[in-house]
Amino acid sequence: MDEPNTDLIQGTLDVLILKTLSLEPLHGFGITRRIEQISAGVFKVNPGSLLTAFQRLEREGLLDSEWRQTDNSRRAKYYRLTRSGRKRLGLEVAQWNRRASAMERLLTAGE
Amino acid sequence: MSLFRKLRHGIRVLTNRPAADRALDDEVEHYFDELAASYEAKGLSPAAAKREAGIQRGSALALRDEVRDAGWENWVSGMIDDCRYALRRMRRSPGFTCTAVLTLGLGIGATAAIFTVTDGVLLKPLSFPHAERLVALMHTAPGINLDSLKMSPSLYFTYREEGRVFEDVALWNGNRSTVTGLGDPEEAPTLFVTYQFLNVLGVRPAIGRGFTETDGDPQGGRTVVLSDSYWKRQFGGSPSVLGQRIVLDGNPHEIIGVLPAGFEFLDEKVSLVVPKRLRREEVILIQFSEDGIARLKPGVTLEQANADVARCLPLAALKFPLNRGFAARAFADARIAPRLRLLKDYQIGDIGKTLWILMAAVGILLLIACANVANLLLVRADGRQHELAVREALGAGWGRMARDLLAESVLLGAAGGLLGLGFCYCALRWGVSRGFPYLPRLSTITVDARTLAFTLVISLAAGLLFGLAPVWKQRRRRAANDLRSSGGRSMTQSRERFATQRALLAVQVALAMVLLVGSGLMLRTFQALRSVEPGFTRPAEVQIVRVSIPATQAAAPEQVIRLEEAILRKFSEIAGVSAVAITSAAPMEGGTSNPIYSADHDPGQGKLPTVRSMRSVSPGFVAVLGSRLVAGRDLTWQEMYTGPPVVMISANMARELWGEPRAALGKRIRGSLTQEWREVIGVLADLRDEGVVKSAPAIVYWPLLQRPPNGALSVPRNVEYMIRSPRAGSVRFVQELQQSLRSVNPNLPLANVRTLEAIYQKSMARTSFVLLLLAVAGAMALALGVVGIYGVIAYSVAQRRKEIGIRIALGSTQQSVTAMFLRQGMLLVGPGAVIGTVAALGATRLMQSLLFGVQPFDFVTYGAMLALLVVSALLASWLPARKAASADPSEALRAD
Repeated sequence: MDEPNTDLIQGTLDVLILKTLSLEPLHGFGITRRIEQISAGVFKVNPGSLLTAFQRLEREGLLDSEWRQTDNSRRAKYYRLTRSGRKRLGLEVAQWNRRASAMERLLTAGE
Repeated sequence: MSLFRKLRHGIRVLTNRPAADRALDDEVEHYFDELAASYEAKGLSPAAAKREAGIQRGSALALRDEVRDAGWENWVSGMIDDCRYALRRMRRSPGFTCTAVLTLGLGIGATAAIFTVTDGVLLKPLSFPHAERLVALMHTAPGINLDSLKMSPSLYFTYREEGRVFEDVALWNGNRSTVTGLGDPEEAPTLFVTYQFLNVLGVRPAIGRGFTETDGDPQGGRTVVLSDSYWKRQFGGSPSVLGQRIVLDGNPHEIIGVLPAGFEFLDEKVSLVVPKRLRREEVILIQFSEDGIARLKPGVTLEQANADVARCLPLAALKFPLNRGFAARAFADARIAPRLRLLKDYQIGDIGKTLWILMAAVGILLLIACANVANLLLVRADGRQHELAVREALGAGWGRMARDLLAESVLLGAAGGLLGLGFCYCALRWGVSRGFPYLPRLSTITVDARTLAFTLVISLAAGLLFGLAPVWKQRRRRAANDLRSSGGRSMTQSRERFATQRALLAVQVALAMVLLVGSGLMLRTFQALRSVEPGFTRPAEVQIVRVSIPATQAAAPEQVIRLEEAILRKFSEIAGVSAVAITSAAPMEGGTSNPIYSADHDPGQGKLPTVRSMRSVSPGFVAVLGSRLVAGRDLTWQEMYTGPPVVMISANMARELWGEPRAALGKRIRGSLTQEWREVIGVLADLRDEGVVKSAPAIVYWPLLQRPPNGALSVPRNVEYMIRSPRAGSVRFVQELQQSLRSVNPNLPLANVRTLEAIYQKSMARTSFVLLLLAVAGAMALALGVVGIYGVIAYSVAQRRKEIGIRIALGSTQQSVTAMFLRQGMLLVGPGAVIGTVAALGATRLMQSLLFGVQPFDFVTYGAMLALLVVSALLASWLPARKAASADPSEALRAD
């Protein structure tokens, strides 16, 4: 309860999913684990939001999915970035960088 | 692209819901298994890890629903679930469902049917290209009291030569020609037109060619264009007809084309189109027996066209010679003025107002049906009160509940719409096959996509309209949670419910009152029409047939009249025939009119006397009409052939000119300055020749044969035979007429067979049409109102059974209990009746133009309809009240 607020706003989750999947195809929990690892636990992923985001992104044609065996030989749904997903990721990253640098300039102004 | 993907995905989920759900469940399960595994990896025991993951997940079902809600298909499937549930409820109470669907079906069906008629007649454009530029060339002539004057050849040439607003002008008139040489001789409905006619309309023949200027040349060969149906019937649709000749009225005509299948012109029957062969040099100024149409140049308004015609009119008098025997100032004195009308308006005439009134009537009926169903739904929602309260307590949102309640009403609306569409289709088929004799443009009245769209919209609108009543109530109820009072026994609830129900009932009763008064007024109008003396008696016994004698059968007028008399003699020999006469026009089917000169009424130098209606008749006309001579005597055959010139006139004309009918005898009149004077020998009772609603015109009855002292005999060649016999109208009788005609001359067809009754009915067709529809609407409205009152009282009786038991146990009489409910019934009807009366006073004023012999605020009608409403309401409340009052009090008290 006393942890800092780490809710992900929707757009952020989408771009994180896209980025994570750009490295390799993963299943749902794999993505959660990767995000939490890389962000060193700053971002906590809500399973409901994540699965909903999969539905949405898949419908928009940014993701493809298939059922595959995992390393410990269970069946899991793996998501993969499509070509338009990759294109979208590029756009999102560029936009994110622009915003972030603007934000940085604003926050550091006058120091 | 992405929309398509969404659609495809959604449909895949919808069509295979279980598979989609399973996949999602698997994914969720795997996710949390992995989560549990990761806890285990951090050192928790397997059981603890599983519990921890379970806590993270919450309800698996809720999670699945949350994820599922992302797609549009889930909204749809929610709706489907609601509808399925609503359907199940509807199936469980078939009585309610049937009542509601039937009520709505009737309301929607009636509305859709009248909409289709209105749409077909008023709204759809004519089937010609740029029909909005087509005008009917109509005029007025206030100088000779003529409200509506058609066209003359002189004006046709004038407008063509001088006009600036028309692309082209054409004359036409609908008539018949006798076709011989193709089996039995027959009369074919024929349009006689100037050669530009088809061009003006923008119609191209399907095969062959249209008319060109040479076809209108009196020196050129005679040509004809066939209609599609005539071509198929007579020539089997063979293209080789082009170039063949057919004999029309004794003259061979070359077939040069066939009209397209859908060709329609006004409401004329058309089998043949024959070009007029006008000689410009023979045209005289005044000869207004033609119809004219024209196509305006693009962008020209009706006002501009009227202004240009007004400019052209005086030029006609300079270009064409005045008729022989007409006063010099005749044309100027007539003060002819243009009154062009769009062709569509010309065809529709004054039907528009009638149809809008009917549209309003069925709209009212639909509202009543909605109110009725809303009341039924309220009762049902009451029954579900407990269930709804439980669902609400479990967290169902307001929108969710509204969707649930609305699903049922929208389904009812849809079912009602479907049924209504069926009703509409049957009603229209029946109506069109019976030929609503009064309606123009019958062939455009079809159930089509527009009808379907309209029905869909009003069904949904109706469903939402009456469905909102329970939704709105439900919303108000949310304030006080009803979970406590199970089954709705608290007093406040029923009072509140009654308030809504009362309001709905008041609306129903008020609207029913409006419809009842409307139909009552039409009934009074119909009675008034029936009581008008038309100028003939027992019209059902008068058979009328037309016989046309072409020049090939009798060239000289002398031969024509002899042939006509021979046919008449033969007809009168048929068994059961009591009288036969020949006339140039049947009663109520028009005739011609002309100024009539009277020897002792000089209109003044160069002035025209009053225009009178006229027809030529044979001896026996009075007898066959069943009319009577007010003064004088009938014509005789002998007199016609050899006697001095005589004439008969109508009683009102005699009164107008000479004060009283008897005074007219021996006076002299004539039809133009060059004709001989004719002595009035008989005065006929007035004839309502322009229809029952219009006053009887002054009529001159010329003898069929006229023998000017210094000119050729004149006899009409197209005549109507009127035959009075009790057997009139039977097939056998018409066959005997046909045989008799054939025995006199085998080349003459018997045409246009009808009875005088049919003509008489036709003259009242508008009234009977409106009366029928309003009466049906009024009766349905009354029935629905009565059912509504019955429902409310019966419900109230059921609710108050205990109270009634107590009352009776304490000594109330049956009468006093019954009276209590009758009072309640009256309280229900009272406000509605009062509002309805006031509304009717306003609404029926719009009906003024349909009424005859009765005022829109006719006291008798209002009184009678109010009484009808009150008596029906009393009956509707008395039935359940009596049952309540006669119940055994001990039983009533024990119940529940």
